[in-house]
Amino acid sequence: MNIPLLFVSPAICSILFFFIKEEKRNLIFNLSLLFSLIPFLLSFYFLKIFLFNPLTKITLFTCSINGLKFAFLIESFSFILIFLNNLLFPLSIYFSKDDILFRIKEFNIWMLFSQSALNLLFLSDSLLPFFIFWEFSIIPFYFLIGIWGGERKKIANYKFVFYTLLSGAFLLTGIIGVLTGFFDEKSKIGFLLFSLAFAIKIPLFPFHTWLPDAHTEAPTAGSVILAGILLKMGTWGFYKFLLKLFPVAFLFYKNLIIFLSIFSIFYGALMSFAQEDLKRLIAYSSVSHMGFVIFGLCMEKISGIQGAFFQMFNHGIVTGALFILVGILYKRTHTRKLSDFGGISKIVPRFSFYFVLFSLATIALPGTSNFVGEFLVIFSGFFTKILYGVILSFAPFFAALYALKAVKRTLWGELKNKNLLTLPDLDLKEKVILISLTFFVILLGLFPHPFLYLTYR
Amino acid sequence: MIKALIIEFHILFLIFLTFLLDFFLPEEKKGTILGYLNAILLLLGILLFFYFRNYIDTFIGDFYLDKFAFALKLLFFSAAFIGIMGSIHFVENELHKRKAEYYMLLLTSVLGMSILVSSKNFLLFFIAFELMSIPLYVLSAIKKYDRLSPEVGLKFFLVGAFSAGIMFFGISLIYGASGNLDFIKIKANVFDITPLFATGFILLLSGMGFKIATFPFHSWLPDTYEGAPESFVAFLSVAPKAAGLGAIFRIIFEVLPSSRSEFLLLIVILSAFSMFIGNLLALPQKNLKRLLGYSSIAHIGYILVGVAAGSEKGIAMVVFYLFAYMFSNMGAFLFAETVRNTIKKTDIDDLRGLAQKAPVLSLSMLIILLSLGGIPPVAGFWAKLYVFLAGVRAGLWYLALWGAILSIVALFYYLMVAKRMYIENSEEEFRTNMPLGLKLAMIICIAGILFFGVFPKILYNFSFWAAGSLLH
Repeated sequence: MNIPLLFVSPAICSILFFFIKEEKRNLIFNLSLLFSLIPFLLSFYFLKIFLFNPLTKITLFTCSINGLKFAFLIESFSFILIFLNNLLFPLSIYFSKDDILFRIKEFNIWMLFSQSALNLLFLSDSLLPFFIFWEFSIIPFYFLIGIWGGERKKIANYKFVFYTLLSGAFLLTGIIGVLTGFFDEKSKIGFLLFSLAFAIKIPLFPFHTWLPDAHTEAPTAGSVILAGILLKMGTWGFYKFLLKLFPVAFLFYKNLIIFLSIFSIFYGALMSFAQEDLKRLIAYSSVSHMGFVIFGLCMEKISGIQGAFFQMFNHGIVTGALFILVGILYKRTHTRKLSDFGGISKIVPRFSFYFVLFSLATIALPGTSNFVGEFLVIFSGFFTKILYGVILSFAPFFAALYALKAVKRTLWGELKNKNLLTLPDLDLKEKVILISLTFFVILLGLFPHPFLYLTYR
Repeated sequence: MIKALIIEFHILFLIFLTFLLDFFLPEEKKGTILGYLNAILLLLGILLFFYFRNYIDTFIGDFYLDKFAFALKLLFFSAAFIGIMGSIHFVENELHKRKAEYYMLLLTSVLGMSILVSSKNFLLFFIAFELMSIPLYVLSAIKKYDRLSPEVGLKFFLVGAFSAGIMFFGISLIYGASGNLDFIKIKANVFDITPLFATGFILLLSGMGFKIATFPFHSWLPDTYEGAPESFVAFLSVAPKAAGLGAIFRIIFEVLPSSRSEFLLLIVILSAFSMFIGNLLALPQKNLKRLLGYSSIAHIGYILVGVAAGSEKGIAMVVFYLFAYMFSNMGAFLFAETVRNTIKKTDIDDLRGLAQKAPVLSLSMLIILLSLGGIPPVAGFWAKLYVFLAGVRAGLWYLALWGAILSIVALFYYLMVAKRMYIENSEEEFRTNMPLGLKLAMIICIAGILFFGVFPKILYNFSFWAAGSLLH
């Protein structure tokens, strides 16, 4: 991953857009798709290196400005998230081609800038660049939700920006404390500041209230990235910085965080079950999935960490695909209410196939990649404390509640709404996107070895 | 000896030149010619700085040209340069028969500031303070035909005169306690702080507090910013505050005895309240200039974190902050001037849909807002980060946390402005009317923000170079 290239490519694209008329939609989208695919193709080069030796660490750039260290480094863990990032961005830009209808130049510029910022965030090896890109990633999404969002975008945007900035404030104070040597590995204040910042972003149970609104009101591409990548900023920070900076303070608060993560799993699933809005239902399921990730990371066992990273990757793919499916429905019917659907499986069989597939993946059905991830996390739970494992074993049941509810109320039953009779099935573009996501779900479900090999220590 | 006054002579020369040319130049072109002439000569003055940068000298024991004074003088010159460039069209088109006066008054104020930061004697200090302040009162009221401008000028004058009185009283108490007016002699003679000395110092600090507009003395500021001419406010919001802060540093480090922790606690309190009040009161504002006014109270709060650190790093970081703040805040007021010049109003609601109608102008304002809000990677971020770093290193982590949390509130209203420009739409027409001088001034501001955002090291080293001289 060439650092200057990441900076420069969105800038070049924005300059090119300056000379293109707004009417040339195809050209603009194809251009930004091209520029977002460059880092994706680059990441295959790193895939080759890491499959050869997963312990490789490649320093891409280091410098020190006035005693503040700036280091960018790629290792197999950050590679997984970077790969996910560069996979989801081209797909969501491709999907937006007929989803975003106005101010498309700005849309593409913000998307490309946030792709670069997120790549650089996952590459950061020291605290300061991590914080810089953490803060910088808010700006594109402020505009993505604010300009192209749904009906309630105003309140959703306020919540999203307020919560994220709050997390930034805690993170900044924590980072300043660490840089000045004020907080050492035993410091409880430092640990709390960092963990508050990450808990808001992940989000863990009491800090999750920004998520359903922001994810529901964002445009489809925005929701995919919000769920797929932005939530991983928190878990990545948790793994990369929190656990390594405050190992002693972590032991003190470990049980609290485990409790919160288990609570999030069940609370998220139950809240999801209660929703009547399809997109909101999927948004709440993220809370549940991210609980698994934090639980896995807290176990400090190799299987827990492997499972957590597996879950991060899966959640990005599966939830992204579900948001895209809801986006497809919304684009055609302009509604997301469960009560407006029902019985469309006969009219749009291909759509229904993918919807059922990804819903089953959310439940962690064996054969899908989610099964491997959740299994590893539950496995590590059993090894730490039998009770944890027993409790977590019930999680797929709760996931089935909301996933099957979504499937049943949308696809099956009688067709009540006569407007749906003329619903067109998937077109080529949507098929391409969904097939490429299905590829990862099935491949990693049946053949998880490369992933496990990458994350094994 | 006399060479210590070289910078002051340069300004005096400019003032007299403007005064003389006023008689000979034709009325209809006077504003433009004098404006560009002064701007170019100020730029030459800035070059003069680089030639004399290692020149340290005193004049009759009261006037010191050290590196710290030098850095602040550079800031005054840059602010005056940007301020004059940004106000040429305003002087030419809206001031009749008072065109040369505008430049003369502004330069006189710069002269006052540059003596203020160099003076090490309370008498000279007070004279310089008044020399700095009085032209500012006149300049605030210079739009005679306007409804608000004379009113806010009077308000500013009354508050300013009152604060000068308080300050003078404080100085007289310090004189009573120590028997001296000279900074060095006071520091040599006073070992423990008597109640008389402490009262004197607190009154002196309150007087300075009026000028830099910290929390309990801030009420004049939003009104003045709203009523005074925008391009002048750009100058007013930066240079006098920098001068006041420079004077506060001199007093804290060169007058107070070494056991000064109680006084620094006072500054911690002022800082915490300024951040709180400034940011909270900025939230409900409808007018862009008032919003920027309240936000500048909050910025003084952030700067005082560096003052409260009471270390060399703290001083350096305040110098850094002042430069970053100069570029961003002056840019913001130049933006307000552009909007007023185009549609005669500066309400935030008038900015609706600006991004569609004037994309380049909106993008510059977005960069300025991000810098004011402290979002990376622009100059304002480094300023805030470094000030907080200095604060935490001095053990003030709670103040840094307080500041970081309140800067969310700040970002909230800065992003509200961005939202008006980028997210909302309006049918009203907006044909950007941006004269050359204003454009150049704006470009300089944006270039400064971006340049020091990407290369903070240059400014950082410069700040440390400047700060070193104050403690030794």
